[in-house]
Amino acid sequence: MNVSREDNYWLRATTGRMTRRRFVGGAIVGGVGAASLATVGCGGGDDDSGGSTGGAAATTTPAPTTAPVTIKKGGVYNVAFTGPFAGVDPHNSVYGGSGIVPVVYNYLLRRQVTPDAAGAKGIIYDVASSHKVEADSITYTFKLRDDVKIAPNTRGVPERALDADDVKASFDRISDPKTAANGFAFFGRWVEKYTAPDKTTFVLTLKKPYAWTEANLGNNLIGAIVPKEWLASADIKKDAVGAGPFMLKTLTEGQLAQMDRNPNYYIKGQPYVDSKVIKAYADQATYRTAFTSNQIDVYGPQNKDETAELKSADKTIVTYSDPGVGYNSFWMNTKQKPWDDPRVRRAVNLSMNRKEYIDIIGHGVGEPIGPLTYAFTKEALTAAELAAAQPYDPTTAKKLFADAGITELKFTHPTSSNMIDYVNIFTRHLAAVGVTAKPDPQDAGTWVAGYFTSKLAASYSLNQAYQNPDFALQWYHTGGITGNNAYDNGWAYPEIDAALDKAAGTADEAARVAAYKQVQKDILAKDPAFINVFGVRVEVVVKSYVKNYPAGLSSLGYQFEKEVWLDKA
Amino acid sequence: MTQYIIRRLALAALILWFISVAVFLLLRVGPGDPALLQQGINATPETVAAVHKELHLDDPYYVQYLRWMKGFVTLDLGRSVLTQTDVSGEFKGRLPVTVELMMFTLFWTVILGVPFGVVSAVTRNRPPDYFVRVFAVFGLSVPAFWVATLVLMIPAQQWGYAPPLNKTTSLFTEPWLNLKQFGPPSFVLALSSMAGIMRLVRSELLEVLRADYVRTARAKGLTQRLVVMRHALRNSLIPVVTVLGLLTSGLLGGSVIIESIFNLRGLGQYIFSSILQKDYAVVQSLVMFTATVAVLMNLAVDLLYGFLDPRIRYS
Repeated sequence: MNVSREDNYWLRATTGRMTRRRFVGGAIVGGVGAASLATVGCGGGDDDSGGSTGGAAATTTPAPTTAPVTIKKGGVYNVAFTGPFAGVDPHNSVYGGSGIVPVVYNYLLRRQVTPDAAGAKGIIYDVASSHKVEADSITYTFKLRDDVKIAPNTRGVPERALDADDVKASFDRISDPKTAANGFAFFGRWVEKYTAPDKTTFVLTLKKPYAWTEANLGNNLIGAIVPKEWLASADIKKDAVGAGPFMLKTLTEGQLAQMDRNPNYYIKGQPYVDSKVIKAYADQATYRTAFTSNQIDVYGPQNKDETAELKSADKTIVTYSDPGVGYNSFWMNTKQKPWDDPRVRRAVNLSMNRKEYIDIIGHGVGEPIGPLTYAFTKEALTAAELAAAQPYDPTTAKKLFADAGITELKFTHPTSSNMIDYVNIFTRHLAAVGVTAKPDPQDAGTWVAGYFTSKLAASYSLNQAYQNPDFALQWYHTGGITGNNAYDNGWAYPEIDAALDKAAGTADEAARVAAYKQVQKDILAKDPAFINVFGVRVEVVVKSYVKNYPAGLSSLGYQFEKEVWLDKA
Repeated sequence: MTQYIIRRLALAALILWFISVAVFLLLRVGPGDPALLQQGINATPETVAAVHKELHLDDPYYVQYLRWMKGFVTLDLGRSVLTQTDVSGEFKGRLPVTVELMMFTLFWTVILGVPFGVVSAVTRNRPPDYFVRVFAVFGLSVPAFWVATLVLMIPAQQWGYAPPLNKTTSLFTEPWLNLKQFGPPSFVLALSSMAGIMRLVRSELLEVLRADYVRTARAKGLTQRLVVMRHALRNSLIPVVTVLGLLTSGLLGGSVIIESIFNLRGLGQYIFSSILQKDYAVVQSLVMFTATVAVLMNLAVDLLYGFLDPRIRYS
């Protein structure tokens, strides 16, 4: 810790560069220890799983309506999360860094998949000013803006406008298997080629029609456009240089990331706040305390009861509750016994009393889900359809287990904070149908290694959030969620692959929705090796002075943080 | 004396070598792959192999061990698998935080533990003694992480106040903010050691107060204050010094949870997150650092003991 002489409080005090009154005043404040705190640091930046999506059932208790007010510029917007940043790679960040990438970099465009209660945002252009899909439904031509100027930086990247070459270079990196990019499966499966015929034109050609192209290109974790000079930097995982609304000023692992307003940002006047600070906390109690002591502006309660508790303590806070796009699931490896037996997989599914999960873990809030979460209001199976396809039927489950000769099962799970609740309910449900389930808790490193290499026989897991139906349903596609057989459970049916591809390639929305509904029923009829349990609701509480908070948009909301402003002195 | 020191240093080196081998092997023989944690759900066999190569995880164990040892003694601790940051740089940045936390903790321990221990001894079986003893039992039996959580949450819930949970500040640049950040966690961390010191001072002082020379001092007409402070307390503090020395290495372990709860960016928080993520480079180096501190503190205490008590001779 290097401290210059001028910075050193004690040296300044002793050498007379600080007045005695100021010195004593400081001592009094320090002694009393109750001086008000400057509102800096911390906050509730949602990662994907912590984000919320704006399903039709979204509920909000907005701040009292007031007359239109003038936007106040300036201030520091403080958010937080629990966990590490783990770097800030624009194309494969999955931890806290994924909250930095979407506001420091740009995307061709954005598309909100799940319309929120306040109205769908639809397509929002960013680097692209317009785009056209040819009649063949596979050729996308993007016209690019010429004023998306790279932010000031100390990394030697020129402050020039992003162009089509940057888009191409970024997509080259995503397509490179060495990058392990989040968008690798999308580019590998669907993208045939892309070209940059001139500086302001970019053409993307698909292998076959794909309805989620815009959604994927605008996905925070997939399509970041990075200056080509910066792509070549060895420090791309540790620092960020882009043309987004904010520029990364500091990233201190285990503590905070500060992003300041990008003076070159092409939307003049935005962002409204001077800085956005993301704090990384190791502990949920610390996270909550930071909110209740006004050190952060946003917090993600664990459930609706915690939201109510916070609301009763501070009636001015604004609360949001939206269907989450995360999944809790039971994964079975069909390459190992007894999970190769469809009777066993079906029995596990039938033994699950999903209502009990909702009552205990969701505090009474949530919905049973099938292959898709209920946040996808159009594509997900309805409660009635799910009740028919995967009913709670312990009697049949008991018989199926007995027929298969199963009296004992083993499964693993990661030792995350709330996993034990899921595990306890799961084992109790199996006990009720005559099977002793023996959980094998493993630390995150051990667990993910076994999961990735398919060495586990079965596992309970809390999976990532998926921002469109196709992404989530890749769990049932040959090649799996990553497109390269990682996490492979051996469950593969060519007809399901074909049906999934067909649904994803259907341009007409009504036909696509029908196709997705049908393929989910087909999946459930084939006793899948990946069973989802229930869809949670994501709770968020926000200080009343935070205006334009992008609620109900899942992590897609990051892109609207440039419009957040703080109504306080 | 010199021979004794040389012998102890040789023994310390042997202990540290044994610990280094144990830490190195235990991390590797256990299941789990840091490369997978780094790459996350998007890992491909190619990228996992690339990370293995980059981190030299494919090398034979003895090669990895020697590389690590060479780095450790030259303070080149490698790169964190998860955060991609230089471990030596992180260590340098975080060490002052942990050292300050330990210093404050020792400050509370001594400044409160010793006087209350004295009060307890001189008021034996009277209300002040009972109070101190009850407090000592509380401090020893209640886990610090629970107290820490309450210290953090109750004031926040009731009065909207909590210690600053922001960027860890420096005592030199922002002293008052720094004191607000370090005061509560160091007090919580000091609770058990403070309680231990109270009990130790009490029992030692009670024993000394029964000694012949104390009776002689009283017979000479010295006041109770002089008897206790000048004659009895000094001698009863010798074992306290020993215990304080040993406490220092123990506090390193205690800082793991406290730093995480109070969001102090020290070594404890670093090792906590690194263990969860199986970050070899960080865990093995920090464990070795802790072990080295413990061994050296033991040695220092043993040597100091001789200076404090002239009756002790090393042979």
